[in-house]
Amino acid sequence: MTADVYDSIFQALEEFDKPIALTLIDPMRYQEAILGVVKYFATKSTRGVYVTLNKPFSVLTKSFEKAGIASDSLFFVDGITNVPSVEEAQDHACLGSGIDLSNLCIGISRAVGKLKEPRFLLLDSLSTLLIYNDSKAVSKFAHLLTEKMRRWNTSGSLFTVEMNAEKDVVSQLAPFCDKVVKI
Amino acid sequence: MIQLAVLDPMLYGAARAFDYLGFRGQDMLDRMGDGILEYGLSQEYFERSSDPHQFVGNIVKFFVENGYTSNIRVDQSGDTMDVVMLNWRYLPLLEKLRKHNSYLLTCPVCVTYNAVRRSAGVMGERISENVTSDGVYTLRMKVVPGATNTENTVIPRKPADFTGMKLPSQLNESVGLPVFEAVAYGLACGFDYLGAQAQLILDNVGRGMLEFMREESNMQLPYDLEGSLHALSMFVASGGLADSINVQLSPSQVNVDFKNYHYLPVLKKLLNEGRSLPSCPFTLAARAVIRNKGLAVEDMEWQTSTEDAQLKMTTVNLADQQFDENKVGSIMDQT
Repeated sequence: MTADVYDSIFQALEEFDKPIALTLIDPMRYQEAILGVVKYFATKSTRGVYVTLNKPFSVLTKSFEKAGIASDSLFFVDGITNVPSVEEAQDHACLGSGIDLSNLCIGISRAVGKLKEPRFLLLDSLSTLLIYNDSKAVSKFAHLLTEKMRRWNTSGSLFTVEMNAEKDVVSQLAPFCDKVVKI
Repeated sequence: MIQLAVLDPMLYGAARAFDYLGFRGQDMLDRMGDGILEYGLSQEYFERSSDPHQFVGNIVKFFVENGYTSNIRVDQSGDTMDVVMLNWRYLPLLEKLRKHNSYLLTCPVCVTYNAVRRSAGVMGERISENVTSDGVYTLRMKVVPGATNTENTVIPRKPADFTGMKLPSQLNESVGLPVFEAVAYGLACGFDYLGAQAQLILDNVGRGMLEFMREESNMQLPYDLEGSLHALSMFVASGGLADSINVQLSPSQVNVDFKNYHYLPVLKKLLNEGRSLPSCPFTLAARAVIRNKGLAVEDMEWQTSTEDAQLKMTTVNLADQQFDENKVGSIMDQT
């Protein structure tokens, strides 16, 4: 199943050198979609930043390793694990749960700066940001992030799970991405 | 016991939350069935059996004993199966959903049955439905191999005709608390695999619940947040969720005090399992009320005792949240 996702994303993005994609995920296929997209970008670039707002990085590391993705290829920016203050280590930075958009941007920027090119950035997910923010703010955030990704010469993808709440964000953000990939 | 006035909005909200996916929404709802099964077995409300017919029989007995239906008759001939539901509590809700052109099924008996059937690698294609004026529902199905829903397993080729039928409201009727607990648990953990973003699904359920309560129970919510939450708390407490629900507001907090809280066994189990997305009907609907007032719930903190619970919800005003792209962009450039 993960191989299907890998093939879909490969076909959708192969024409781009440093693609920035908006990945619209069917909620039933969330887990396999994440694994397939990570695998795709990990084969294209040496290292990447994985921004997790859904599951603690410790949980993700295990499921990625189980799927054959070397966890040392990823630096996690974790915006879900509860920590009393920002916690930084070699493979992750925990910014605390419920982090605001401005601090999240700064945390991402720092993490990307730690990695040499070629590198990628994955954001999991815009849907989660819609729980605590209005869609206009989330669109502005995503717009800024894609702009910086181009400047940083970084490929990657912003995930959004099809939940009937993300339509505004998808329509506003699609023009700034190279491709909208539906999985 | 808990009134259908509290349970039905949850089932309605769940069905409406997945309408946008079309028939594929049933796969999401069937995940609730997995949760109901898990909860029922863990609480020993019914027993597992290696014989699938016996296992289904045990589950049906649980729902009958808890007043969700008076009996379910199943007749199978070859691969065709006739299911007859007598005094089925879900029937008025089915009628309402059909008026919205929604064919998704959230009946707790059905989604639990789907979970058992799916694990055995079989699905049921819906051939025809019939409803009599005295509320007897019959479904004819064809048993086919499979594990995911198709249009044929969700939309009957010949759906029931509710035209000219006026089914009496059953919202004042009650069902046993074990049914409520199992549904609430199924709802809370059915979408757990999505992580924190599953809250968006539960928030959609909450919106659907408010719609149902307004339309079917004529619940009136005042304009102000405090009045709305108070009216909501009175409504669900009188429906049997708790002996009393006391709500207190401060500028960035909503504090709720539940006395003799019937959601407590589910809450405790969820918290013990490290699951942080509760499905208490008051909480689901309250989050929708709060969002409608331009606020978002940032954090929920629970404290529990033997029979009671306290909930502290931290809120943020969405209008106060500012994201200045230029300012943040220049800070990012300097890092």
